[in-house]
Amino acid sequence: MFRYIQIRKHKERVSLTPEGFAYLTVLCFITVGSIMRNVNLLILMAGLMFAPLFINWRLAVYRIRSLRGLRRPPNRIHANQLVKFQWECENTLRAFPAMNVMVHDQIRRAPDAEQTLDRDLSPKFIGNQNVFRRWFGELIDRIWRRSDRDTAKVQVRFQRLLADQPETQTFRSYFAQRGKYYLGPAEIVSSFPFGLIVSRQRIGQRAISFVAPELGNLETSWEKRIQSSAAGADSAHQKQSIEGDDFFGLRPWRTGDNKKNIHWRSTAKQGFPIVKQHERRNNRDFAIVLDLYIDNDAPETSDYGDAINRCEMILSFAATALLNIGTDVEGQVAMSICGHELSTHRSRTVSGLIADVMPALAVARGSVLPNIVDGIVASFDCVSHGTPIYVISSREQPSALSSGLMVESLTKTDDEDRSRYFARRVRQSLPALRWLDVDDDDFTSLFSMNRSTGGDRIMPPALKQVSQKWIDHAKS
Amino acid sequence: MRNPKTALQFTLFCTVLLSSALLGLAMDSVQSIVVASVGMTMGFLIADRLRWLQLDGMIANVVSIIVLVIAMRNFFSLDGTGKLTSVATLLSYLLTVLMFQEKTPRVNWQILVLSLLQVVLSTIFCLNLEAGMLFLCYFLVIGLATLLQSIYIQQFDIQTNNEKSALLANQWFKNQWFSNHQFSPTNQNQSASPALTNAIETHRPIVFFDSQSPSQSITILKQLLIWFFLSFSFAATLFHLAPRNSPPWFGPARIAKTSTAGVEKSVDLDERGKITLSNQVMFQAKFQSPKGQEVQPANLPYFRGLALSSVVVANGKTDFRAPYDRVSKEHYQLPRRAPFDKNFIIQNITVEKSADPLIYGVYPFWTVANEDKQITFCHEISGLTRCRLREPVSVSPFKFQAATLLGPRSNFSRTWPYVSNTRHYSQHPMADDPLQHEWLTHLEPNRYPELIKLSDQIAAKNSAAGGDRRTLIAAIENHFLNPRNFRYSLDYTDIQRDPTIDPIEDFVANFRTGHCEMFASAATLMLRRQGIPARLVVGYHAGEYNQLLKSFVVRGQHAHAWVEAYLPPEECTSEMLASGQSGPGGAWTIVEATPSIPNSTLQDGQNEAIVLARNVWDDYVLGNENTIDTSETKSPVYAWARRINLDIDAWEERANSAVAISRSPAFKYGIAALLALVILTMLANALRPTKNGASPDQQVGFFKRMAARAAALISPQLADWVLGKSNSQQTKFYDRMARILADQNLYRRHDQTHREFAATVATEVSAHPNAQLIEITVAEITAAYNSIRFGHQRINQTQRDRFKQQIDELKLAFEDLAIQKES
Repeated sequence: MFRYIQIRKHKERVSLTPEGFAYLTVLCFITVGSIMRNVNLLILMAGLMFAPLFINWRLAVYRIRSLRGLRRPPNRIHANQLVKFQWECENTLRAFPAMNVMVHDQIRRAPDAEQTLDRDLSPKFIGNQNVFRRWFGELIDRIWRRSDRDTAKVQVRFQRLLADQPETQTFRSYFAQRGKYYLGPAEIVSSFPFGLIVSRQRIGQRAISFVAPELGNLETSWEKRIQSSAAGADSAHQKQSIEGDDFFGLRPWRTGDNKKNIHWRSTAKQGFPIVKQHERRNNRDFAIVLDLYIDNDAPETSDYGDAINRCEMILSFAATALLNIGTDVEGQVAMSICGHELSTHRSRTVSGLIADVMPALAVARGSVLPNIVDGIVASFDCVSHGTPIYVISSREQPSALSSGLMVESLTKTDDEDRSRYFARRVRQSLPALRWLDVDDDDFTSLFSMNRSTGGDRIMPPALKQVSQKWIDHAKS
Repeated sequence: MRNPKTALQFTLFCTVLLSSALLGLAMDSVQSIVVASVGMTMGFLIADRLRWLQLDGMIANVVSIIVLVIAMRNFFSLDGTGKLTSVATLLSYLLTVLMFQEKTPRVNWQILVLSLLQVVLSTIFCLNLEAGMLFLCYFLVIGLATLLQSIYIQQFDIQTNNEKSALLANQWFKNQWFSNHQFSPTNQNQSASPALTNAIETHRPIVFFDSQSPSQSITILKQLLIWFFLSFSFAATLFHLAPRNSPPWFGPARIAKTSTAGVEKSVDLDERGKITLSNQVMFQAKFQSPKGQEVQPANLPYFRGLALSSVVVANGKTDFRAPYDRVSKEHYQLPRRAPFDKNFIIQNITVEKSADPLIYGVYPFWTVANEDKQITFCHEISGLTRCRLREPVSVSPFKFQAATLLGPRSNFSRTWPYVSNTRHYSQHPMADDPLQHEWLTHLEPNRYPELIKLSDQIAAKNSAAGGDRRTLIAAIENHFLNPRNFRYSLDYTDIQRDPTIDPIEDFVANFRTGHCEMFASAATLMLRRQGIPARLVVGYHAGEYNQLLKSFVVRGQHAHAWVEAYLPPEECTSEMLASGQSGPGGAWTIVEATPSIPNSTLQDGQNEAIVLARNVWDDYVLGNENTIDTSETKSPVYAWARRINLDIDAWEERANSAVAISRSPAFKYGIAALLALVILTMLANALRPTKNGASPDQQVGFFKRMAARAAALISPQLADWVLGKSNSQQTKFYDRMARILADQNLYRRHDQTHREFAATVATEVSAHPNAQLIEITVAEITAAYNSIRFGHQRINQTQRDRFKQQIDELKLAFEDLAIQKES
């Protein structure tokens, strides 16, 4: 049993189904005919036909008021995956079970102009609030089926809802493209028992889901590379002092334990050697900067697609790396996304960063002038000194960032102090920079996407299975 | 039944079977029931169960058109009933075609609607009680079908969506829309389907609803079916247990007889087997005093039909026939009104529906004041018929009131004034009309030597005893009633017939066993031999008296034949004259020559309950109103028209003239040509091959495309606008923004891209208090413009509204500064 948060109670809307319209037409025909011809049996028939219409109307309205619904989207969605959504519905009316209840939901990808991290569903996303215009617009959309074009309609069916026994139904969705998606508004629909009159109640459930980039395959060489850089960091720390580690507890002595760790007082009390156990502090930080550079922002040009693809590769790499890095890095993790906008994310835990970064990766866009310098400096500031900063870029490393010369040209702003500060910080970070160009063979040896030999996307097995099932059904 | 679909198919099959049966019963057409049942069953088995053949939608449409033409070919030349029959046939044919199609929700609804129309038609034709029970069953079944249909529609929608999603997913990966260019619209394969193109352009997700196990559906279904069958079983048991004589179900033989409800209009004197009696109710009669009190007569009434006065010899056998060849329109006259000085009673008669206009009643037959122009009397056939001026054939029960005479001992009269129902003949004796006298005494002496001999012997004996014509008539009657002379039987199986002589002669001379027609025929001929005008009369005698209804229920088994002999006025008794049983024209008297008729005694109604139910059905459900009796005073339409002072006659005249125009050949051919044109256009449109290579903009409807071609003659831009291709329509919001910016002296240079212009605007307005708003708005509008202009994307109404709102805000943002400056 769960409680539903309902911001606004919507009034149910009752309308005729197409079948109901046909039924009503026949009913009118019969009624008029019975009056004109004065045929009693026709009047009786009209009455017999009117009864289901009336019963359907009252039942549908009565039933819909007692229904509640809640959508449960998955925690994380990646492109090119078949993910499962849940709809939970409850009947609060104890008198009768509700039958044949439908939940109509919708999923729509936000237009490019709305591909931002903004999670607020302000009226401007919902549309004009003028009731008449909205109603008229919806009517026109419905007539011309305009809304069908960009919206995936979802129908979830609950065959029977017993009182106070929430039922859960699922639907699966395949998102081909990462980005920001609007969920809802949803409505509960009931036309039971005869399907002549349908009653709808809006239950809102508007939400935004960010579909993270498609996941690829990280090669073992990437893991090795991380570990090697972590070893370097560890060695640096070990030189400092082991005393800096946290005391964890006492345990019996084992062969190979350092004599310095023997806790003499406890040994005397117990009569056998007891050693102090220290939990090793993990100082393996990790920083990654995504340089979403595109050399051409005109969609009509031929190399625009290649540039976009390179950016997609970078974003996929970042999402994959972030999900796989959990066991290797437990220190400070930072990620800067330098594209159309600059965003830097940092966290003490990888899981925290994942929750923060994935929406940003979902809506990131390439730019002809990404603010790479700010990104590098921001990441450099987030991690400990000496931590390698991986820059995944769609271009070769600029000479200013490799040699350290002419760095000011990259950091030039109206504020000279600020420029100087940034130039100094960039120079400091240069030794830690590990530049990876996605077109480079080095990157190819680290990461690959699920593609066929021709470079085509491969259908996910889950999607293949479910689509084959329904194609077989259609053939049968 | 594994799932709702199977259950729905079966229920639909039951629905159409019931509706077809109802229609067939209403039309009294066994043939239509059989044809429809066979067609529906074949359709159900072949298309739904075995799935050997499922008509494609297009083929089904063509077949339907052919069926329409066949069923309606003579529509306009038919009378009202014929037109209804044509429509009924068409509905049966169309339903059969639909039954052979794959059962999508749409087809299911078409079946249900057509089935409903079948029932509507059957109610117009009129249903008896048994069919009424079927009518109620039909509504139970169609209710169940509608319920299952609503379940199935949801299931079907989900399945269809899932199948579409699966096809879409396969098409995506088959064509690899993702490779290299990440949905770049400029690289779309030209073989894209509209759905796929839309999905790609909008990055629409593909959604699958997880199918549920059918267990819950089956649970619901089981509950519904149990509920339905319990209700049905209860109703059927109640119906079966109701006390009745007749079996509750219908048989083809009974239905076949319904079309000729009533007695035969010619006698069959060559019966060989056993005559079976029908239980079919023909009519009901209730007798009341003029004050409305119930009257139960002392003797059984003779419900007279018509006289078979024409004696002809056909195929070597004597045949009595109604002289329809002597009848013309002028012979139909209105019966006389009841005389107020006589002791008459009211007979309320309800004739079951029949295509035969002949009606039955106790004679003398007088109309009462409130029965106006419903009944006519034909002198030549001496029978009463329904008035056929408005409707050629009545298809509903016919109810009428008449007056008849009751004697001093509460007996029905056995004589009545000569041709009592017309004024002229009631005032003139037959002696004034020698031709009729000759016709009614016509006899071929050579064919009946033994009969003539016997007749002469009886006449001689009567003369010797000093008897008159009345005693002679009684003597001949008694001769047949004497059980030593003749025996009544309906079984001719063991009777040896002599084929060389006339059957009547054979009956009188040899086997002397037979049914009423034999006795009546022989008696008629014997009376004629003695110069007494005589005729054979068919009708009904006796019946069941239903205590609940206080009325006689007359069935087919009560059919009877007797003889009417004419007495001139001088031979009528004073008593007859005083009571009104004879007049100046003389009297006809009943000669009952049939001995010991088994059904001639009054029977108690053993099936009172069912007859009462039938009566209630007729009176309260059907209203039992004759369709020809829809007089102006009774119709609510006329009553309403009168209330609002509507000149309904003028409108009727206009309607009649419109109908006359619509019946003209030119109008018919014009309509037919128009329909043919529309059908051909639709066919051509449907048969037009789909262009796989068509771009999304070309995927428009036929009419829109035709309109675009016409518009292209004026201007190609106009054609684009009609097709919705014009991007300028889509990007008007950018023009509006540009005008607002131009008002602020911000113009886009010709060498600037739109994005560069947006950046310039952002730089220019950086000092503006609303700089952020302006910058964001211009950037967003520019991005949207680029996606439409170069990305070939489209915006919907919601987006358009949002842009409009943003531009309004932009305008306000600039105006704020102006206001501030002014202040």
